Amino acid sequence: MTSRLRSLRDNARLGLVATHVANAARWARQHQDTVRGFLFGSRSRRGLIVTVLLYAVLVAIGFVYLYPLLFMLITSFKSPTDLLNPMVQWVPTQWYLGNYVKAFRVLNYPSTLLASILVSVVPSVIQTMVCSVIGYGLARYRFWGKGLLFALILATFIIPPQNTVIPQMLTYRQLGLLGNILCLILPASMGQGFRSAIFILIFYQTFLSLPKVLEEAARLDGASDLKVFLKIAVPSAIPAYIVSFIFSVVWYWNETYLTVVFLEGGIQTLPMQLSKFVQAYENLYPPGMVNIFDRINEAVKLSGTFLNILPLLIMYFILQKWFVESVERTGIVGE
Amino acid sequence: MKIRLREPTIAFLFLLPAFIGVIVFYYYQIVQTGIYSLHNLQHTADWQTQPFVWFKNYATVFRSTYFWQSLRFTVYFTFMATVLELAVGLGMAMATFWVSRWLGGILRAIIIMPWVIPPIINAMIWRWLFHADVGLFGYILVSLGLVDKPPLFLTEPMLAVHSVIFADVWKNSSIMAIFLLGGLAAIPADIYDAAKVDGARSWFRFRKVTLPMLLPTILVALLFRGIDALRTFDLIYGLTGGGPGTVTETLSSFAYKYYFTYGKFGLGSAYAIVVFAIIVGLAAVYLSRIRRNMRFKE
Repeated sequence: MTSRLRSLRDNARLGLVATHVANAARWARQHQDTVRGFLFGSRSRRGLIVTVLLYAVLVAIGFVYLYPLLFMLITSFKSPTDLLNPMVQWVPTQWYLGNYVKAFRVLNYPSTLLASILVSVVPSVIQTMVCSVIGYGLARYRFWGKGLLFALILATFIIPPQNTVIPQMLTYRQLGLLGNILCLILPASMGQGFRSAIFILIFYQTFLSLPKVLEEAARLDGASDLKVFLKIAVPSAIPAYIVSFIFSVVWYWNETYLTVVFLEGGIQTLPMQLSKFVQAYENLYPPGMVNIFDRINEAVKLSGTFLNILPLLIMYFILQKWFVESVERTGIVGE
Repeated sequence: MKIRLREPTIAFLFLLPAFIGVIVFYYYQIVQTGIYSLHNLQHTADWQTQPFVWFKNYATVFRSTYFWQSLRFTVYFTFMATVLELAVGLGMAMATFWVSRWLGGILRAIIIMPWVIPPIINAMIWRWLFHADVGLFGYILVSLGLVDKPPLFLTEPMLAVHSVIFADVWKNSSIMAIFLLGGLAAIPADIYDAAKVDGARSWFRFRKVTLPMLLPTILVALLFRGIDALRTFDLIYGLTGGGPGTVTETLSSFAYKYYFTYGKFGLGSAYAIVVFAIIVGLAAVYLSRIRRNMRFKE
């Protein structure tokens, strides 16, 4: 009895469901375009499915992209026991700071950090200023041989540094400048720092795109060229200055080939010290003297690596808003 | 009238550092390298006292099989890396541009990260990731059941070549994306709106509006990355050291080896000059091809 009743009720329920489905189908048929538009997108908006897919792909790519960095960061916090334990892959049993303490000492962090900042910020500031002056000169004045000078400057971008490194090094040695920061400042102050050509190009295009009217008006009022440049041109080219400065700092900071050649024996920068990490570690913690847990391991090396890129990351996160806006406003290349 | 008369003098003052700098720090040095390359210099650069050997160093360069091998690898590396970086960079730039402003900001911050990592450190990270015993990639492939034991990413010739390219693409796609984002932002929004009103679907819009408008930026970014890739040094030096054998030796690392490892300044200079000629040649061909599409000059 009860079973018949139940099956009746089930049938009724099924019937109800069927009616709902049929209703939905009819509704969908009636509003076919709306539904399709919602799911697959229409001319005016992106569909739900496409959006979800797009975001899923983005998340996946972002994860893959950041994987090396994340894994590096996590490993740098692993204690020696966690490192040996195959069960511990993603989450360490404790956030161990010992690696950072050791890496901090091995890198001689305060002094190498200061050296790195000095070696990248000072030439960058000079390079940016001088390149802006040159870019302004090229954009605003007409004179004999301008085309040639422009070509000569742009060609320096193509010339590989190994073509000039040996004669440069020998010249600096004769002048007794090897190991001195002047090796980097001198070329930068002549508009020939690392990849100066691209900065000159950025400023050239920026100044070219600024209206001349204001400058001409100021000139008629009797302002000197220098004053016109400093008071009118420079303030309107601030985005170009920001972009150039950030690019310049990153390139100077990251350059290891030339800094090793020019500064070896004098200034010890962070990347230079990092490349000697193992040796420096063993000087500080002799393998025979310390217990097994204080021997060098991947986690300590990765802490050192992370300490190395940390300053740039911090700088970038502070400046990134202006940086992105400036890149978009200057267009950097090809505009 | 007064202003026009003073103009050349003022221009001269503005451009004086450039005049001096470009001559002293570039062209004089190249001439000097050229002079070195004609002498037999061992552990000394005092060319006046050393034997003048005409083009013997160049003959040595062109006869060496290593040179041709490294040229082949460098060209292959440059081509593959640049093309892949363009593809990945374009994808990242488009994605960042399409999503909401808020998410776009986060994506931009993420995209930029590999760019701020010094190449030498990038090399260290990847050497560790590719490590045969403790490396992450080997571990992932094994745990997915794709291979029985971790592949020798850096010691098997074919794998080493592509591992190097992979590491370079990971790092340098970000700078490509930054350039392209700048280019995308420069495209006026009303062009998109016009295309939308005309009923163009997104793929069509991308192909017929975005790509052509972005082309000048793409071409310059390709040139920029291509030249950079041609002289790649830090990454490969740190990742494989040119190995296995000399499979991933680039033209730049050769010059470096002859200079600093063997102390053969004459031969190293000859290498440098040949590389210089190759890069200038390739760049000239590329520039003459794309000239029509550039909006560089006034």
